[in-house]
Amino acid sequence: MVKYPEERIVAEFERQHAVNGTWLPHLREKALAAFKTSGFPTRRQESWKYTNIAPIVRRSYSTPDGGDADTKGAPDLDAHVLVLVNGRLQPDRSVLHGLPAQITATSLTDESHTGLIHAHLAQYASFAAEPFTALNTAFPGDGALIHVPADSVLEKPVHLIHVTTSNQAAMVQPRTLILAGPNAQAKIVQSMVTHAAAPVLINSVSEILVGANAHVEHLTVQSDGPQVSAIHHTSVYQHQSSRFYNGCFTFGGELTRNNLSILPDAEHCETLMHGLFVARDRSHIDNSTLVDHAKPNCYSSEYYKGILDDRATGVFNGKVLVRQNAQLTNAYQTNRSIVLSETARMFSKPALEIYADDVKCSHGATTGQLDKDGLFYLRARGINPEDARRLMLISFAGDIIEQVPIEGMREVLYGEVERMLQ
Amino acid sequence: MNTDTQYLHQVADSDYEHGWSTEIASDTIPKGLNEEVIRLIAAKKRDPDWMLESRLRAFRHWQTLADDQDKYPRWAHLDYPDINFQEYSYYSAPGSKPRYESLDEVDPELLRTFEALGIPLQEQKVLAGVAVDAVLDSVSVATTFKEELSKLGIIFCSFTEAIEQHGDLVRKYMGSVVPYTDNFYAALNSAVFSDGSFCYIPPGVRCPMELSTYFRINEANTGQFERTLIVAEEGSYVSYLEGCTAPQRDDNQLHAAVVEIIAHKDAEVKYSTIQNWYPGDEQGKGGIYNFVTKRGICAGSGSKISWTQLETGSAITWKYPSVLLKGDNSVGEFYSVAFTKGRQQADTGTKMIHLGRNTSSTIISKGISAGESNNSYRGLVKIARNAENARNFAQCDSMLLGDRCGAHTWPYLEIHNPSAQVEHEATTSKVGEDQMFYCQQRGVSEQDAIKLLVSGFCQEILAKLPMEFAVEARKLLSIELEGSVG
Repeated sequence: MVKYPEERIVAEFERQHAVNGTWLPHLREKALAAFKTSGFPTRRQESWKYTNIAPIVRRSYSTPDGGDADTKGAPDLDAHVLVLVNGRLQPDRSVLHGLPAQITATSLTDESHTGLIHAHLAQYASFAAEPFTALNTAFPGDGALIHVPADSVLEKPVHLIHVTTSNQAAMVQPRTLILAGPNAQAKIVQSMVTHAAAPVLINSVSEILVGANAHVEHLTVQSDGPQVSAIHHTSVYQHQSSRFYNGCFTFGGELTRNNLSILPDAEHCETLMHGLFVARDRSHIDNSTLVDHAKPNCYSSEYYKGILDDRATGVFNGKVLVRQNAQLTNAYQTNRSIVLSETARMFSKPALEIYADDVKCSHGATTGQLDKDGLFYLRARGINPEDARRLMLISFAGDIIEQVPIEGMREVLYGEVERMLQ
Repeated sequence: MNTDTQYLHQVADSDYEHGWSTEIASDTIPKGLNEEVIRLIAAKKRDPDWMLESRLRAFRHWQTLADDQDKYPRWAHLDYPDINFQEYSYYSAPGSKPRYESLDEVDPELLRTFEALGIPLQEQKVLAGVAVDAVLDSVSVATTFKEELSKLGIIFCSFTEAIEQHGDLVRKYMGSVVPYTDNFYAALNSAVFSDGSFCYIPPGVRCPMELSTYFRINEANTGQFERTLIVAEEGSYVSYLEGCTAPQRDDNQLHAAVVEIIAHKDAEVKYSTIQNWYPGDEQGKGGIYNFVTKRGICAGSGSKISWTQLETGSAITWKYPSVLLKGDNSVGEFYSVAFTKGRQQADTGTKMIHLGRNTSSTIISKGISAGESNNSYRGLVKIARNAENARNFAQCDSMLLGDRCGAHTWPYLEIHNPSAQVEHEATTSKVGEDQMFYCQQRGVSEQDAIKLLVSGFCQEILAKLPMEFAVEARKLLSIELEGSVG
């Protein structure tokens, strides 16, 4: 009997995760009900207009649970390392010595932190309107909890390495909860590593709480082959006078959707959203962002760049929402894309939805090819066309990479761009 | 500053300037919409068989859309209850006599209406050199300058007359740019349209005067379904004006017009609109629902279509004048000022579909929102696979004049060709405090300063309007601004 993809995936998870039945049952039930009501999104929905996930979810996936950890391919950073394999934390592979005692980096099933987890999990990433978040919430398996309490400073970044490994088609659902208390400072890097011969679907959800006056810098890096599809959802909640930086880097993959939803829910918040994607072959990369200015006196700046080659498709779907009492909001949004081939496509939809009058908001989007004058300048200096083109593309990407506030990451990212352009 | 604000509020409470209705005996059919009504309209219009067939085809298609709840267009950023289409009457003709040969025959009451609106036909004939095809509700009551135009081979007449006398041209072009399957309201219009304007410019002819039609909705509860068709042959030029005001009404009046423009090789069509229909009262009651499908096709190489609009009226505006850039080297332009106040809602913008090589398009949109209104720009720029060297520039600026209004920008950019250069820019802000300070410091009152600044904000667009229109536009904007600031 042919089943709808929704039914098949739910059945598969139910079979695998029967053991975890006692873990937050009430929440999971609600999420499952929400998922069953909505089903997977279709292109008829405005937010999925340019991304068709039907071929991805139509496949049969197994749901591997744990496995061998091979972190080869992940950036080598001077950091505290947490390794998750197929969504499950591997304490023996993680490197956490030197982590200050008050700071927690552990599994989401760690019973000594149940109170914290119950108080915050699924509080920021609403699953009512996001079917993938609902599915993740219904069957989270495991994930990582990073807790930086009030007044603590995390000097070195925490590096979360999500390893996906499977011999057959697999779907994994990592979950991350990052809590930064008042005046805390933290840098978090999440990188995805996949070892799989068959198609893999990663459906990850990260929730980040930024306390009053806290500074959080969060970076996601995904660099994958054509067998990997990913739906990443990041929800951020900012308290008074907090500062949050999000860097989102996507290189390759079959289909990637990066959802970023930020709610600066108090005054004087600063929000930076930077993104870079390089897509070639038949890659499809979709960045959908929302910054919901609910309170006055906040600043947000968004800058996404993309390079598209071969038959790749890029989507930028950014929205700045300024609510009625969010006076004195400053919001900027920019999306620039370079299309290199006849068959690559770019869809850009930068939207402003503004209900307050005393604001300064702007957005800009450009799509084009490499600047001919720039190419001419370089060629006139004896640089061959391939090198000139490569140099210009790297400097195009450099605008985003140079802003990355985490030591060691810039070199890694330049390396990735170079690799993609070869 | 407070007294100024109070003054502005007082003016805001004043009633719609052009709000009254003319008492003329009307020929109106009962409310409701079914095949019988379509046949009745066709009979009243003395439609030929092919026209009736076309209406019925459109009506049957519309019914499939109307019967399916999911097909009712709800995607726009507009908040209004679903329309009950059976609650409207779909045909109304002023007076009992359908045709006039000279102005002397026109009902003097009607002429006074036009005069009150500041558009006396006689004066315009002499002063402005404008041929006026005045449409009061649905039947054309006066067509002037026709003889002068006919010497050049230009056809400018009501749609009804065009169907009678130039049936071949109408059959060839009607529905070629906006087919009845295009959207919900285009289907409705194709089924029930009562009249409109038809304009044909022969090859190589430069139309010596601005062609203009004044629309005015005059019957309560009568949807006005106009149809405009403009055909510009090779190397021709025409500038077309459309402007409207409407009397104050309690029930929402439905308007679903269709405008089609065909520009052949090297032809240029400039289409300007001032829309000032009744926007509803303070609570948003009454007011016109305006659902318009406007589209032009640059069919031949080197052709150009330019849309300029000033939107200040209507409770709901749903309007996206678009250009299909099919011919190589063709040019599309969209210049718009949309002003909303009270509880008005506007969702307007454009579509520039680049199909030919070396095509270029420019979009400049200025939105001004006041009161509790919502003003959205929604635009699509699509560069097709074969549109080599396409160029687009879009700029959408919004100004907010109150703390309870909304300004939104929803651009869609779809790029399928690497040689395209597409740029979109948008800003949203309030009236600059330093600019206000500068004006007030020099003794300019708050409301005058705001008028001045808004006028400057829109200057770029208003300058694109033909001269006599630009004067009216500035006047209108200034009247609208009074009392919308505070």
